Amino acid sequence: MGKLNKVSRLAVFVIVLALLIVASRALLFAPKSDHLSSSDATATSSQSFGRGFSNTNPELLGEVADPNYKIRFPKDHYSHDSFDIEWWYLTANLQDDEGNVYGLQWTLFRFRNPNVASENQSIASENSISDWSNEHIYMAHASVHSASQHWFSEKFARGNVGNVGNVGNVGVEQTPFKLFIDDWQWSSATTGLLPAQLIFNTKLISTGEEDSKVADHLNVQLNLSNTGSYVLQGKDGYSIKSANSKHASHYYSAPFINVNGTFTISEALTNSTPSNLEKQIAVKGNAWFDQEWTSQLFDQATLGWDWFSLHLDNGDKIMAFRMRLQGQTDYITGTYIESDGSTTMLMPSELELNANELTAVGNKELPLNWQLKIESKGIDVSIKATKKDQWNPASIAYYEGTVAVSGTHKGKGFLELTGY
Amino acid sequence: MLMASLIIAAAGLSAVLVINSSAKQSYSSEQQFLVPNVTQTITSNSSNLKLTKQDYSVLRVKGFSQLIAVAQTKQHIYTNNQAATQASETTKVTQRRIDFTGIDTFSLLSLPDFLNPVALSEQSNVAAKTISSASDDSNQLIRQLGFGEPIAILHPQLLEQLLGQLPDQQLEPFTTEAGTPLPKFNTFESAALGNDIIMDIADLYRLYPNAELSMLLVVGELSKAKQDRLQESLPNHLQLTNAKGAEQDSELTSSFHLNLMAMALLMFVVCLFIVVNAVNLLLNSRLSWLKICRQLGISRLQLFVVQLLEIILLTLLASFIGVVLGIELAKLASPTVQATLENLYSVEVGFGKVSIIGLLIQVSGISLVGSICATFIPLNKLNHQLAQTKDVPLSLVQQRFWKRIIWLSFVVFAAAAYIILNHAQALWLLLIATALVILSGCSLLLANYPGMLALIQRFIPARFPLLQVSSKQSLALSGKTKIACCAFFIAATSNIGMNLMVDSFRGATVGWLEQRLVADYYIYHNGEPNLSDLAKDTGVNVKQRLENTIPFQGKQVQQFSYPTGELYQQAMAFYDKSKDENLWSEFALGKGVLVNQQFAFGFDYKINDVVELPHPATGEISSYKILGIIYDFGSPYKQVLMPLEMFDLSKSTCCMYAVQGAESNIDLLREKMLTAGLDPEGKLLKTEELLAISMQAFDDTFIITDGLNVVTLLVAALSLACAIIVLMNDVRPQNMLIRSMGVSALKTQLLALFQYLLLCFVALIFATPFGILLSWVLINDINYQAFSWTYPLIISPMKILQIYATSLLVVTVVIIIPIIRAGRRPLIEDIRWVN
Repeated sequence: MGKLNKVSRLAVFVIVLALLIVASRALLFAPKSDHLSSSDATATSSQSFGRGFSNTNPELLGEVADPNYKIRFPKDHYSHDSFDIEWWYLTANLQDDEGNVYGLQWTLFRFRNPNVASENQSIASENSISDWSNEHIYMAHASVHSASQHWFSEKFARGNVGNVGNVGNVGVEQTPFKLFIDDWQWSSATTGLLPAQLIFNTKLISTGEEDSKVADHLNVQLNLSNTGSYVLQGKDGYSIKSANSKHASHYYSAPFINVNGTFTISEALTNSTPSNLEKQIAVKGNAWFDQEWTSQLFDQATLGWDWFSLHLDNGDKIMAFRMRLQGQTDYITGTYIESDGSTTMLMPSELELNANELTAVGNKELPLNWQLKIESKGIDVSIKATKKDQWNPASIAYYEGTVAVSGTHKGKGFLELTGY
Repeated sequence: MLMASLIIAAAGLSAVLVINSSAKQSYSSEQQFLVPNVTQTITSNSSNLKLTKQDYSVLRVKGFSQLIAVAQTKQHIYTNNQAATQASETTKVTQRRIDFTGIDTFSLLSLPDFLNPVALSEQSNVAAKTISSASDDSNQLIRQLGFGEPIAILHPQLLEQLLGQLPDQQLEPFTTEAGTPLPKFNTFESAALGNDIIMDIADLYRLYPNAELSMLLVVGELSKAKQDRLQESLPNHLQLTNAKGAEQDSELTSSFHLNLMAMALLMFVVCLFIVVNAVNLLLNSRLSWLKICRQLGISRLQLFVVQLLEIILLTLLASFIGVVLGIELAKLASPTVQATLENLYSVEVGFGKVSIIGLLIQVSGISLVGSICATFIPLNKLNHQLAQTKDVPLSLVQQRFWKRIIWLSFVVFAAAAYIILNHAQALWLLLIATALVILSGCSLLLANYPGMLALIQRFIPARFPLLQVSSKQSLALSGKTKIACCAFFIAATSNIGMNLMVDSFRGATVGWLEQRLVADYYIYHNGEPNLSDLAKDTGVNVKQRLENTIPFQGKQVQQFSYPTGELYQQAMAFYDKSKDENLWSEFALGKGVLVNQQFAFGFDYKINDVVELPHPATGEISSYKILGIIYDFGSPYKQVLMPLEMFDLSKSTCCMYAVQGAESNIDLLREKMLTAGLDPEGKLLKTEELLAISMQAFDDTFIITDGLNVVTLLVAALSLACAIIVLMNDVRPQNMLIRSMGVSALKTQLLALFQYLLLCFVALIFATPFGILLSWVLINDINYQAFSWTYPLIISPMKILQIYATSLLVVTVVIIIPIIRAGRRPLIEDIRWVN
């Protein structure tokens, strides 16, 4: 019994760790791609999480994405507990009254410990559930970039609302809708995702100035309102991620979000006098929201991905990604979203997405300059990162930052690079 | 002999230095449970409302993300009994419970300082700072606790102890009582770790579902505004206090360390007495050789330098060996020291890191100074011997002068001790006074040795001429063995003092426990169901003790209930009580309270003073008269007793029940407890068992003191033996004469033994009143200042006689060797030697 316990516990942790890796869309198992040779490929990140899904018992994996599943709202804004991994992902291109631009990201990840979900409840209860843990682990990232500064914070918590072992400081609530981890909260007055208020705080980790005696706490308060419809990615929300269709997820987006709010920058909380460095900045702009859940997205063949969300000046939106897979050709796909919300699924043959060059960012070589062609839509644009260093130094590190679009169309958006 | 005494001195000193510095390191460590930068803690201030997971999550959701939950439980460690047929059978491995601590590592990892260093090398200054702090070893370990395979962190020395207690090496040795394997142990050297095992909070609750949240750590500084907001957000039963800092603990335990240090220094000083005698012995045996050197023209200075160099080299070598032995000794003693400190002061003590080089420098420095000083006396004597051809005895005037000096020192020492003991309160001054008491005793002994021996001689009948001769020789010897006798006196005095103190404490504790524990059984049980309800139909009389923790003058005070029945009235042990005959009726009416010594001495209250205290049930502040001050030995807490009727069960906790009833009724209660899921074997304790457990804990606490006592006595006896070897030569003519007169060698040697034992006996007689005085000082001054409680001094003649017997036995064992050696020498050798 003792031996079984040990083995199953080991398996649980291997899987949890593997889930942690993949969760942030940052596949770190094999950092080098066929296309790009990063010189020192995420040595730090991969060494911590170098154990893959294949080490675990496949029978213990969570629910598999179903091509026939119909996404319904508000039900599908909530947590899909039977799936191993899920995220609520917001990226926003903002600017203040003085024309300064900001990139903002806020993400809540949920991971499920597959061992607990097994039918063998005796193993589950003996190994993982206690008054302080159940099968769910949450991680959240908050990142804000100005032209020279980078605020970034990471949070972890465990348990899920309503389950045994829920600690109570994290979860997804339905009525009214609320995503929260400690005091980072996405709260709506209704059962729906939007409109909502997003509140979080983060800490300065990088400044362009030599003088580090700056206000280093950023409190963010944003009002989010949806001006368009939700977009079901892939085929009615079933998003295929590889040519052999082994990798897939349920995936929808809200690309038409208007944002206005306030950044409050305050001094480090170390002295007793009221801060004289505190200042408030009104910001507004566009945001893009994704929710995605799956249990079969990642395995050791998955090397990483390059993902784009673009707001074109004509009001159209583009989502495109390139999955990099071991021993397979890269899988490139996307969705073209008209300003009225109508969508066109872009099959691999219908778009071209190529990295023009590699840029040295710290000790890494990253593709920050891309070319995207969608002939059917008359799109031939170059996509360039607006700031070189937009690396998130999280437990699972990845690149997440703003881009500028030029060429046949102009616009802005976000680029995510994982597995480097 | 010289080497042995120096090694003992250095070993004792370094062991104490290691123990003290380890303990102090763990108090001053900024980490709590490996969590760095803990500035404040949140704990429950109510005994009935505990800190809960909900309190924690509500505070975190309100934005206090610097709070980290910590849960603790004290548990024994078990191992699977391989021989057992049932897999669930386990054997207990630990002697005392281990503190299992669970930390919410997920929240800890959410703090900016724990941000994983997966940053790019070019990221600028702020990130670099974050990375450097995150790369600390303990932070990395905490990351492992959170996301790795389940592990538990403990100090390597604790693991070593645990492995040492296993019957044989097993791969997966440790389990809970139920046989659940403990997580893999990872060792980590940190002064913050002591008798603890640290793991993730979820793992702790998985292993021990009944663990309780003990505190929330506040990591990092809180701004004034945020601190105010936190205070406002705290529910009434929670309080924010500054993290238990180094000052508080070290102040609390300084007395213990000072006592330990004093004992070590005492041992060191006694060892130096041996050094004096050993060097004397060395120089004496080389005297003829040294005289030849002088005749060859070597200057006295050169001779001294060479001798001194030899002593220095020997001291350095001995210090090195002593330090190595001392560190091992400290390792052996550390569990007992940790247990003592934890029991007496409720503080956690870790295994500190000690720099061997630093320790070596410290110990060899002290040893060098000591041995050089100790060598000075024999060298001075040698100087005289080399300057003169004959030993010139002191003139009568000189003798008178020295006698006056000795009397004067007695008066000075005694007066200084008296003044300090009556006026000073600082612990170090009190310890100096203690030393002065011993020194005044030394002076008194030296001044009265001849008179006392002469007096004894008068009582020896004339028909025992040999005894008379022998006692006369003792008189002569006393003049030459002053230093050795003083060493013996010091050892004997401290031995009597410490023994009487421990004996009084033991006696007082036994008496107090026997008086207080009047019920047949006691149940320790916290939580549901209430055992008073459970016992309703069993015919067993159950009295519960309800408890609150109340704030009083900025400190936490225990508010306990006490039954007012006749039996319990008689059970109360008072230090002082009101003369009022209606004491108990006033107490029962809730007009007055009983407080323990810790409360009365700590807040400076006397009988009939009035205190403002909250009502145990309503919380309303009212005035109460102090009706009695009670003994509460060994408790670090200040306590107020109020009648049981004033308490409200729903607002107080109940952890203890006094049970009385016939054995058959008790059996009924046992059955009911079993049905309610309570373990009657573990929770229902017979009063005799409880007494035995308490006294066992007591005896364990004083093992170190006993050990040091014996070592000191042994060292003193060695010192005396050294002196005897030197003096053997001096009495050879007399012995030769007696033996020539037909007295057998055995008789001669027995007489010699008699002489030395007589000297020791006289020293013991003088040591007795000073020992009693010493224990009085230790109880009424040092204990009072250090712990805020005292106990009556019990002078047990049997105990004193026992010390006499032990001391004389130790001396006999040590000096019998040189005496037998001398006895074996043929008479002709002595005759030749005299010629």
